[in-house]
Amino acid sequence: MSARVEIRNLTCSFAGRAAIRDISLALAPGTTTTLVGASGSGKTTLLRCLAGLLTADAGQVLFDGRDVTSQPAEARGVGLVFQSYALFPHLSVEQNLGFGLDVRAELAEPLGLTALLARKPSQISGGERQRVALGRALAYRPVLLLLDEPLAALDPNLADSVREVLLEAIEIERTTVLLVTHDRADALRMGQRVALLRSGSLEQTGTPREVYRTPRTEYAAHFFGPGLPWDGIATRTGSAVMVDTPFGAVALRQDILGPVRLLIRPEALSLANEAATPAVVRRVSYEGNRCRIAFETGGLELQMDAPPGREFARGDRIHVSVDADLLVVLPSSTTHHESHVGLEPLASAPVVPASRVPA
Amino acid sequence: MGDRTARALAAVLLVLLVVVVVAPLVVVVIGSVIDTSVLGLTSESWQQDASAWSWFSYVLELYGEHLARSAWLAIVVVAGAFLIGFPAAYGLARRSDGWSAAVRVLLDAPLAIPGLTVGIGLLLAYPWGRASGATLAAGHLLYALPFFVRAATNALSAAGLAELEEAAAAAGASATQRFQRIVLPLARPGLLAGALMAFTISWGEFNVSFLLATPTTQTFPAALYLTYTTNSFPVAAAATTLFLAAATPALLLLQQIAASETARFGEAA
Repeated sequence: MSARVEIRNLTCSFAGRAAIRDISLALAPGTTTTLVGASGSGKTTLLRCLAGLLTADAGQVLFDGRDVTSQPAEARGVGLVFQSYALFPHLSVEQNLGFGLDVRAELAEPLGLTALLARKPSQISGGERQRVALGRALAYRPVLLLLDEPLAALDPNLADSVREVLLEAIEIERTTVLLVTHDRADALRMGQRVALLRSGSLEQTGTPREVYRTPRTEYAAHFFGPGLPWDGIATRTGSAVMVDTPFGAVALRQDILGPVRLLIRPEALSLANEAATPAVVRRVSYEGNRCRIAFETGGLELQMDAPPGREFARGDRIHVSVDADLLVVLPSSTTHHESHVGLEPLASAPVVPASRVPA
Repeated sequence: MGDRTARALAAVLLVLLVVVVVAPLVVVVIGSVIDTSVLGLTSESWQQDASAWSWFSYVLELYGEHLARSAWLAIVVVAGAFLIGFPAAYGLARRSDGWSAAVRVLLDAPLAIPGLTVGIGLLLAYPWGRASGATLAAGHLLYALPFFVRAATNALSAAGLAELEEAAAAAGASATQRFQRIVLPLARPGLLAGALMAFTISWGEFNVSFLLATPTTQTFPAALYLTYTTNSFPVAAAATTLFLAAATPALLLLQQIAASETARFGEAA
């Protein structure tokens, strides 16, 4: 059982200030929407407001057209997984799972909890606690499952395995899900739709591909991945729309003319032959499954992923070309400089001397 | 400091603790059941023909009413602490703002004020309650309440009450179900510990009792004082032993609660 959830012009306060303002969002039945944003953007407040744990100042929440805005939490039929799990410490795993009014013991098996039913929450690991919290939230077939940063407290390896369990359980249950995360990668890979919150307001919603490839604002563009903003002039040359970039003139798919702002993401750049734009390697960041290099060309610093099997060192001379199809065209309305939240410098991964970078 | 030195130091401190704290009590308890001439108290010859246990029957005959009154007062104080302290602890565990900080300070304030000052204050504020013992009970409650509230608040706060209640609400539990299935079980160790502390505090309270009690509301600790000032040593020792006999099980129970609650919540993985 899953509900179509509609949030209409919702405003909700937390600690005396409006933490979310005029939010309107629709969640299709049986789909997973990820709610992503920086710390303090209002993600958890929206989640708690949907759960009925906070009272809305204005606006409506509708489940299948039924207004639940003023209903208390216990009457909403919402499953909620807390970031801290909030397992009842005095109850066993089995009792925690059965705390909902309609006990479903069969959930223990797919969640791998059968052997742990008699234990107390303090006697199981973090990943197991997360699964118990998920099982408890699903136990009474919620019409809407709310997950508050479900992987934030887990180490990366454990998060990987719990993520799989989570996605599998969501797929089996086919319930409507709103998953809060601050991790943009999780936001893109775990939801069919993504909603980006910024300072209490919705910045953009769309499919993961839409928000990444066609961001509506520069903030959204930078939030979902690093890149260099580039201001150019789009002109028509024959039937093509051309724009100058640090890597020469490229043809845009979009039919726009005049000033245009592009975001050059790392994946749009690749090593090329000597006819391409020359550049100098400035930093090399080896991250195991990929190697990202920062290079300089024409006084600009950009990033790209190095091809596997090649070793680079600071000062290496390379040639770089750009794939016009992978350039992000930012809306002209945001061509002014905003704060580049999410613009990821190479420093996010340890920089290692090029001599230590394996081929 | 090496392990051996640390162990030796710990042993010395333990011996000191036994000598300073336990030894006087042991002497008094022994003094209540043996011939006091063994302790060099030859002046206690007026009942040499009596058995060692006769001091107890003498004390019970003389101060039995005081004992019963103290027990009854302690029960009233526990009940009062529960009625006032449990809601207060629940509120304090759920919020941490200026108001809750002010309530905590207010609750702890009597602990920093001499008993005589508190007693005089109560006497002036509630003179009508002195004869019935209500003012005395209020005085005991003032000292027992901070310990009760602290124990109950700690039990609820440690578990993260607010979020657990929210989790229960999200799981469909009504306010009554949340109280029965979450609040009460989580508060139970704190309530038990708080109740025992309230009992022992009331049982042993002397300052306020001495000032506020009337001849008809005098408590056992006040009587105990009289035994040392007006009776012989064996009588005073027997009275002290009776006093300890009631307080010790309560203190042992406190330890037992801590151990059983550890088992109830499970040892950490």
